Amino acid sequence: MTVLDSEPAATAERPATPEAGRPPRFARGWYLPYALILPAALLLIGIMGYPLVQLILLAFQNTNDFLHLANPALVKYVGFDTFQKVLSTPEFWQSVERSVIFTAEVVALSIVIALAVAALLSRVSGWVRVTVLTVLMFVWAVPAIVTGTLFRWMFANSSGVIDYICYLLGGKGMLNHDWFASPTQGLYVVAAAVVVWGALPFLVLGFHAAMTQVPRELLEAARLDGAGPLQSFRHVTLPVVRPFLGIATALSFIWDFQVFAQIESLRANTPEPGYQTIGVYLYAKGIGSSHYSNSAVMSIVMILLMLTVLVLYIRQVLRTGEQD
Amino acid sequence: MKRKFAAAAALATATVLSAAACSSSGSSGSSAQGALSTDGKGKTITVWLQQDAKNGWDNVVTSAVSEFKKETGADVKIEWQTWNNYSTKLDTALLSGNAPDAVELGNTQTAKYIAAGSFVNLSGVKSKFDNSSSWLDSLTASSESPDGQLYAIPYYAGVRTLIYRTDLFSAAGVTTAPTTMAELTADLDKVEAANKKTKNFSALYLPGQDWYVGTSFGADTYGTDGLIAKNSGGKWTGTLTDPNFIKGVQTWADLQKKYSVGGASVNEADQDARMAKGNIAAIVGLGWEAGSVTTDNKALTGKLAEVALPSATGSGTAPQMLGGSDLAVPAKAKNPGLGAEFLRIFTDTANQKLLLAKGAIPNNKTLMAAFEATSPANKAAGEAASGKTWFIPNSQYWSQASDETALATAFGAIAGGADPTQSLTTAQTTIVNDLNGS
Repeated sequence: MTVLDSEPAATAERPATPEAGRPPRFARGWYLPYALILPAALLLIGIMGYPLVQLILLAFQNTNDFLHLANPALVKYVGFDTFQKVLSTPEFWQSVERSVIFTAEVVALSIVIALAVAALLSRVSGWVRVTVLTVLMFVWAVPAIVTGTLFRWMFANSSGVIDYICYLLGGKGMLNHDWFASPTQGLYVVAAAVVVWGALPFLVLGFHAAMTQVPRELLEAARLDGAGPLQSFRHVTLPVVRPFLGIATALSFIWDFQVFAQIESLRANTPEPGYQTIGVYLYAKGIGSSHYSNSAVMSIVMILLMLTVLVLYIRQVLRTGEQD
Repeated sequence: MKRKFAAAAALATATVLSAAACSSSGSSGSSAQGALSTDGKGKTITVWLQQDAKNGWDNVVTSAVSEFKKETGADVKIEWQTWNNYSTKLDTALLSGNAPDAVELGNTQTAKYIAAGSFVNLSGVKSKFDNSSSWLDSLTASSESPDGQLYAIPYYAGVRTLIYRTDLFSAAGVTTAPTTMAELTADLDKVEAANKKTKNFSALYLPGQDWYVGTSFGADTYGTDGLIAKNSGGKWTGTLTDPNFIKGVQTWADLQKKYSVGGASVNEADQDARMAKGNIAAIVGLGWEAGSVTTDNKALTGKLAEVALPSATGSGTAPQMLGGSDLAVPAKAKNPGLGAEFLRIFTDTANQKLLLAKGAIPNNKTLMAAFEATSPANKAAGEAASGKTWFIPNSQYWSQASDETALATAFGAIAGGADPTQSLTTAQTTIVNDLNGS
C-alpha cells in the first residue's frame, strides 16, 4: 500500500525533465519514492519487527512467572525446553484441533451467507439495500466484547430470548435449554454464530461492491442464452468476484483462527476448557497466568500454523489465476 | 480479535522490554524499606482504586484526598479501575517506569507481586497505620511475604452471606431467620411451594460456576486448613478430591438442583441483577449485592435481609471465603513516600468508620463491633467474617485465568450433573501443576 501511495509523487517528478525523453536510469529524484517509503518502512520495522524478535527471544527463555519478568537477572536462555514442554501438552493440541474445526466452520459459513446476502442485495429495491447496508454498518460498529456479552444474554437459559423463541416455535423442552452446558454446542453453535454475525458486515459490503462490477450486459446475455440464476451466478458473477473472494477467505481465516474476545466475553471471562480455541487457551494458560515464555511458544506455533495454511492457499490462488 | 491479540502480545513484549530497561536490581523481595513522606508541594500522586469505592463509598475517597492535600500540599489523581483482567494491567504497570504511587488489588492477587519484589516494604512504618495490630488475619496474611515482611495494607474485607427476600419468606409462613441447614431447607421448601406459579422461580439461586460458594460448602465439611491445596516442604498437594470436601460439595449440588433454576453454566456476576427481576427468593452474596438489588428494583427496598449461611454439619455457620482488597505502594512509584502516606490516611480509623457505615467490612477487629451495630445485615456479615473463614492457597503461582477458571469449570460441570470427584480431579490437576510451578 505504501508503494502505491508514493507512486503518484514519483510520476509527478517526470514533467520536471521533459527534455530527457525517456528518463535515464538514475534520473533526478529517483530516490524520492524510497525516501517517501522510508518513514513507513521504519515504523513497520519498529512496531512489527522488534516485538516479533522479542517474542522469539522470549520463547527461548524461562520467563514463566512474574518474578522472572520483574527481575531480568534471573532470566536464562533454556533452548528448546519451553517448546518441548508446551508441545507435549495434550491440552494444547486439543485447542489447536478445536481451532481448526471452528475456523473451517466459521469461514465457510460466513463466506456462504455473505455471498447469499450480497446476491440478494443486487436484486432488491434501492431503499431496502440502503437500509440493510446501514444496519450492517451498525453491526460492524459493535465491539467484539459487546457482541459476546449480548449473545450470552440472548442464549441465557433462564429468560433468554432464543430459548423463548424456540419454545414459541414448538420446542416445548427448550424453555430452559442450557446452550453452554455442552461446549460442543456452545462453541460450534453459539460462539460460531457470534463470530459469523460479526464477520458479515465486512464480507457483505465487500461482495456487494464486487458484484456491482459485474456488467449487466453479461448477465442479460447469459439469461438470453438460457442460463438459470444459479448458472449465471456460477459462470458470470463468481469469476468477477473471485479476487475479492480469495482475499476475503484468507482474511477470514486469519481473523477466525485467532478468535479471542468473542469467546472470552461469551463465557464471562472464564471460558471452560471445551471453549478454549488456541487464542483463548493462550490467554488462560499463558499471559493470563504469567507464563510468558509458554505463551511466546504458543504464539509462534500459532503464527507458523497460519502461515502454512496461508502459503498453501496463496499458491492455490496463484495457480487458478494462471489457469484463467 | 486480531487487534486484541496483537495488543496482548505487544503488552507481553512491552512488559519484557520495560523490565529490561528499568530494572537494575536482580534479586527478589529485596525492595527498599518504605517511609512516609508529607513533603508534597507541587507534586501530584496517582492512585489506582477499584470502581467499588466510587460506587459504594465515594465519600471515603473524598475525605482522604482532602485530608492528604491539606497535610502534604500534593494533589491526588484517582484512576478508577475494574476487576476484569486487572492483573494483566497491573503486571504491565508495576514494571513500567511510570507506575502509580499506590494501587488497590484483590487479596488473591498480592502473592505474586510480593514474591517479585514489586511493592515497597512497609514493615518499618506498620505501627504508624491505625489499627495495624488488629488487622483481620486473612487480610494480613495476603499482605505479607512468607518471611513476615509487610508489603501491602489491608483495605476492607468481603464475606458472603445468605441474602433473602423477607416478603417472600413471610408470605410462605417463614418469619424467623434460618439458623441451621435443616431449618433453611424446610424454609426453602415452603417458599418454593408458595411460588409454584412464578416462572423460572428459584427459592435459592446458586450459579453453577460460583466456585466461591461451592468451595465454602466443601470447607464446611473438610475444614479451612489446607483447603483446595496444602503445602508441605514447598510441595503442593491437592485436597479438592478429599472425601470430606466432596461431601460438602454434594450438599451444594443437591441444593443447586432442588432450588435453583437456570444457572448451571453461569457465574455469580449477574446474580444481583437476576434477583432484582423478582423471581429469586435468596442468593449467597456479598453485602453490596443486596444494595444493588434494591437499586435495580426500588420495590424491593426494605424487603431484603441477610443472615450468615448455616453450616450443613449441624450447628454454627459455614466458613466463607474472606475476600477483600489490599493497598500497596509499587516499588517503581515516583513518590513512594507520599503514596504510603495517602494509604495511611485512607485507612485510618476515621475513614474506616466512614467505610463501615457504607456496609463494607473494616480491615480490623477493633472496629468490628461498630460495623455490626450499623445494621442487622452487617451483623450477619460481621459474624461470618469473625467466624471461621477460608482463603485460596497463598502462592505466587495462583492465577485467576487458570486456577479460578478451573474451579469455576468444575463446579459448573457438577451443577450440570457431572460426577463431583471426576470434575474436581481435573481442576486439582491444573491447580497443583500451577502451584508447583510446572
